[in-house]
Order: sequence, then C-alpha cells, then structure tokens
Amino acid sequence: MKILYELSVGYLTSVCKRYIRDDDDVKDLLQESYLKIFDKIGRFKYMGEGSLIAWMKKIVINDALKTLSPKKRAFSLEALGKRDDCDDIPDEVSDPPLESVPIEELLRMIRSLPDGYRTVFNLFVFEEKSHKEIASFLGIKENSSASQLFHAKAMLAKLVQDYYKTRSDGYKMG
Amino acid sequence: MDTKWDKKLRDRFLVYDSPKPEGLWEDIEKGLEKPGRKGAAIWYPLVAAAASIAALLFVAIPRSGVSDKVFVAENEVVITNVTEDSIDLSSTISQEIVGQSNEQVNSQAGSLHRSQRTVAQQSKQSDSQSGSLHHSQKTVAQQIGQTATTDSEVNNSEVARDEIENDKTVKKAFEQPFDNAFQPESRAKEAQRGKFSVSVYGHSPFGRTTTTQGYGFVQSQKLSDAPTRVASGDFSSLSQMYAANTESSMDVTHFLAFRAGLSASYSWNDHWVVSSGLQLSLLVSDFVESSGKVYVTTDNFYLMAGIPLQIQYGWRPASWIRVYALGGIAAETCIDARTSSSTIFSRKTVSSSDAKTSLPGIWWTASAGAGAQIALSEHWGLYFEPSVEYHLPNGSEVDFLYTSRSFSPALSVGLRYSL
Repeated sequence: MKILYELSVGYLTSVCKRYIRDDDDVKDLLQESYLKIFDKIGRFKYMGEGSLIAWMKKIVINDALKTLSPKKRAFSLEALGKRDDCDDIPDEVSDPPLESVPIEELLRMIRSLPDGYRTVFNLFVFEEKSHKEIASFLGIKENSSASQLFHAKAMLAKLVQDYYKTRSDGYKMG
Repeated sequence: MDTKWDKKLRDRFLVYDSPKPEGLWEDIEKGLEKPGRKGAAIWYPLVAAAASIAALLFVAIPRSGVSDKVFVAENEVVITNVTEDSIDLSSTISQEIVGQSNEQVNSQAGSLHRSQRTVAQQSKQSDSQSGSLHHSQKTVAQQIGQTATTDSEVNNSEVARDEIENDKTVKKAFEQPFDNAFQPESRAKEAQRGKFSVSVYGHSPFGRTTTTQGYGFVQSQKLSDAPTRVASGDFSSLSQMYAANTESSMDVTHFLAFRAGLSASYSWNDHWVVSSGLQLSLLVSDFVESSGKVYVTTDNFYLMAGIPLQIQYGWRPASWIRVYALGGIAAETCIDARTSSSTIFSRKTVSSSDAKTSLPGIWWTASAGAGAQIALSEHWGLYFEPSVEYHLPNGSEVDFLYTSRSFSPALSVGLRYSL
C-alpha cells in the first residue's frame, strides 16, 4: 500500500493544493482520501491507461469540493465583485505568458484566488468541465460560472504580470 | 483567453508533483488500524495485496498525457516472492519518483519485465491460485476485485464496508455528476463502452410521393395485378382501354417505407463502427384512378426482408453524444405481397378484391446520411439517423417506391445497447 501511496502522493498533493488553500487542510483531506482509496480499491474497475490515477484523483477532488462548505463555494461569492482586490481587474484579459513562471509560483497564484474563483477555475481548466456541468454541480447559474472563470483568469493574469514586474524590478535593483 | 492557454497550464501541472505532507503516511496507517475498522487485522493484508497490485498497475500505466516511453524508461518493476499474507512488491524506481528505491528491494525469485507485462509467482497461501500467474494488466485489475471479495476471510471486512456504505458522505463521493468527466483522457472510450452493441430501430413513413399519371381509362380488372408503369400520356402498354376520350386520371402515392430492424454493431476503434442485422420494410403504394363518378382504388403492400450493412465514422463532441456519418447498403427480397382494390361508383363500393401478388428479385439500396446518438445511461443510447436512400433498379416494371423514385429520404430512430 505504501508503494501505491508513494507513487501517487506527489501528484494528488498538487491536485489537492489547487483546491484547498490551507496546508493542514490539505493533509487532512489527503488522509481521508487515501483511506477511501484503500477501502474502495477492490471496486476499482480498470478501464485503460490512466484510469487508476484518474479514479484516485476523482476521489480527492470530490472530497476537496465537499470541504468547501456552501458558504465558501462559488455561488456564495456572487458578491465577490465587491471585494477590494477585484476592483482593478481589467474588462478584457489577454493570455498571461506562463512559460517563465515556475510551476510552484503558478500553484501559489492559483491558491491565492478566492475560493469561488479557484473552484470554477480548477473545474473548467484542469477537469475540463463545461459551465453547464459546473453550474449544475455547484448550484450556480451557468453565466455565474462563466463570470467566475473570467474573473479567475483575470486575477491570475494580474498576478502573473505582478510577478514579472517584481522580477524585473528586482533585476533593476540588483 | 483561448483553450491553448488552458492546455498549456494543464500540461504543466500534469507532470508536477508537490512535496508530500509530512507525517501523512503515518496518519493514514493510524486510520487503517483504527479500532472502529472491524476485521482490520484480517482484511488489511488482503487490501495491502490489492493495493500492491494496483501499484503495479500504477507504475506500469503512465498517467494521462505522460509519454509512455518516458515513463517506461524511468521505471522498472521487479516482483519478488509472494509471502503468506501479501504480495511483496519491490520496485526499482528512479530517484525522481520515490528516492527510496534501495530500501524497497527484497530478495527476488522472479522478475517482471514491464514490456512483457507478466506477474511473477504467487504463493499458495496468499492467493487461492498456485503456480505462476500470467495476466494481462486488465486481468490483474480484475484480480484486485477478486482478492477483496472472493476470500471468505474478507467477509469480516463486509462489516467495515457496510459502515462506510452507510456513510452518506462517502456514498456521495461516488455518485454523479462527475463520474466520467474526471477522466477526460478516457472519456470517449468510457462513453463508448464496449466494442459490441445491439440496437432495435424503426422508421415510419414521414412522407410520400404522389404523382398523377396517365390520361385514359383503365379497366378495373386490370388492377388485380400490380399495375405496370404508366408513363404520362402513354397508353400503349394498356391492353384494354375504353372511351379514350373520357377524361380520367390516376393518382399514384408511394409511401416511404415502414421499417423495423435489429442490428449488431462492432466498434473497430474510437471512430469506425460497422453494423449489420435484419430489417423488415413495409412498402405501401396507393393507386386511385378516377373517371367521372367512378373511382378505383388499389393498395399494394410489399413486405421486404433484408440484410443491411452499414459503416459509420463518428466522434464525440461531448461525453453524452456521438455524431457520425454513415454509409450503407441493403439487400432485400419480398417475402409477402398483397394487393387489394375497390371500385367505387357514386360513393358506393360496387366491387372489391384482395389477392396475393409477388415482387420477385433482389432489391439493392444504397444509403448515406448522418446520425447522432445520445447516451441515456451507461449502456443505453438513443439514436437518430436521417439518410437518403438510392434504390438500384433491377429491371422490374412493378410500380412501387423503389422503382418510381430512385432517391428517397429516411429517418431511423433506434435504441442501442452497448455491451
């Protein structure tokens, strides 16, 4: 069992961290998820390449979404637009260049997004869910999902721009 | 922002492993050995065996998106002797993956070469099978289920499982809505399910072709046979004709086929499907000849049995729908034919007849169209196939749908069960 754990924990930790901000919560969540994985391993149905890790990831993501209580979920953050840090989000967003941003930094940026934005962003970009599916699962409207995604990407774009700006300022100061 | 950006981000995280939380494994072990988990002492080694086999699968199968060759190059799995309680799985894994490879290696009785995908010997006590066990990955995965469920000692674990079953939160984790969507790399395969499927379909005539032919008078007794083709204005083929100067006309209506069929399909790969089966088509043609107050109506019924062959090329724009282009050919023969006619004079039926008739020969129909199949459940799908059929002439002079109109539209609706 430990070998399965060792082989998968790194990937599943990164998946969990995208959804959950707090590291202690990440650890608790992974513990719960692994216990479920080991309990349910007998029911796993092999369906081809990648199906095992996908099955394990599904358990982790389902648990992560459950821990995001209704109060913290996307639909409660309709009023998020009133928060100060959303004021400077531009109306239009262009693709922020990601190539030069270390992945740990990208993960930190994603984790810094508000819960609602982050949840929709993860489900849309990483899990490739449609807005209709996200809306159905989270209990929000479809256009709310689209709006949350837009804000998430816009905020992420700003964080990336700030990162580049900090780096170039650092170079200048150096 | 476009989807390329999404894909770039996705691809970067696909191969990224975060540092594992400290003390996580110890917490998991404590959780596994909790007093509340009844029978833990008994089923734990069996779960360990199952998890070890799963680990073999994990190592042998790269996560989606990672190059198979890269993953193979980085991993080499060696399976040792199987002990009484568990299958010891030792693996020699590159430092990038685990970093503890040396501590994992035990004495070896056999070796597993990933390219051959074989499992080494298992001891008799740990598994009910003796001797060496060679399985494909799929069979090994099935063994995981068997290991956990067939051994009588696992019955004690049923209590633990029941507790978990009753836990609504656990139960909810395996319910909709995410199921297939969390496996995007196998979404298309999972939605397609098995290679084989059977379907029942039908289409009813949603249209007809009506023409008015002929100018003259055709005697009613001629109608006991299937009418021969009457070209407009050409009466030379009519053996009897009275009062040619009496205005008369014949309206011919050929209904599009009633059809029902049973077919079996084989999915060659994600795109190509071939299917065949049996179909029954009922073709109805209606002839109404009118001359003054006299109406003669003739209805011809042809029951055709045929064998269709269809090839589809499809794809899945979403997990719940498959769209495809199709082409096919069908060979039919008439197994029953009847004609019934009535002569009506001043709104009263003065004579009627009903007789068997025949329609010899093999009738070939080529078709082309498109289709869409909507997934109703894991196995069931509902499909719609609008198409155009071309009926190849076979020299027959019988006037019915296949000879009067070479091209006819069709719309099949069917229910498909995928095995």
